[in-house]
Amino acid sequence: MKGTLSCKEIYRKLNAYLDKELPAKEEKHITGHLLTCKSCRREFDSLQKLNTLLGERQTETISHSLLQKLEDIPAREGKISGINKAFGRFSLFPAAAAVLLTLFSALLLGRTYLSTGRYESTTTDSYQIAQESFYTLWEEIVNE
Amino acid sequence: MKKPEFTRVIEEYSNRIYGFLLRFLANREDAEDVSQIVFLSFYRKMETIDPSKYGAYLFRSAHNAAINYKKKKKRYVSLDTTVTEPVSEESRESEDKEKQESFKRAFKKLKPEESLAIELQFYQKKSYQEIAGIIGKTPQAVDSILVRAKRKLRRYLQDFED
Repeated sequence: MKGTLSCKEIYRKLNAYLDKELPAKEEKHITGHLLTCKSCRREFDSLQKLNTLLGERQTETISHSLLQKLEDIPAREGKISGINKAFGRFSLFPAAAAVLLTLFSALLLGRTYLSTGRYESTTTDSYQIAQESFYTLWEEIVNE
Repeated sequence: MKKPEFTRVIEEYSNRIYGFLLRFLANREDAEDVSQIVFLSFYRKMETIDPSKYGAYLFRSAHNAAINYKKKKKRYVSLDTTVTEPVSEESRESEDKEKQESFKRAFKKLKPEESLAIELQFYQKKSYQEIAGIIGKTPQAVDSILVRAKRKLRRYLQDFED
């Protein structure tokens, strides 16, 4: 810090002075200046009044329901991760389900065609193929 | 292990974060919604955060979440329909209503980083160094932000300086 501070510099530092954020030497200098300079003193008083007003404001308290919701976060997150884990274990499940559904549809379709007597030769073959594939896949899944 | 620690964090910070959000958003429901977002995000990342920086993380997170929330809300709500709720029933009993309203109006005029700095200094009793750590600026920059914020507040609160 240089020898003396101008009013403009002090004016700028009054906030930090009030907040006790200045080095001791500067603080002492400003304290002395405020005793003699009316203009800076007025600025200091005004700033101090604002600080008092801000400091007077009360803290807020959260509602019981919000507190409950916050405390429930671990439980809710636990459920979500449980579901994710379950699906993670059966990550092939959706794909396998889609294949099974297709084969099952093919089976039903084959049966319908057979029962109507149309396309008998070709549908019997596809019905048998689908049936064999279905049972093979089913066995693989069960054995796993 | 994670749950007891999280419960302790809620006990220590929930009122402070909620208070900050309430002053920042000036709406109880919004403050409650954003509080949940902040603590949920904290819970998910808790294991990666240094416990000595929980407070800094929560305030920074609340600050960002509140700004995002305001932006999103602006897209759907026109400005002239903004309804300001009473900040607190209890404080309204003990403080002059007019003063409260002036404070609310004045706080709304501040930039997000200014209101955060005021919040951290006056409500969380943080030093410039601590505020600097939370908002990612130098203590000198914090001083400048506070000076600017207080000038604005004084301008808007002139009635109370007489």
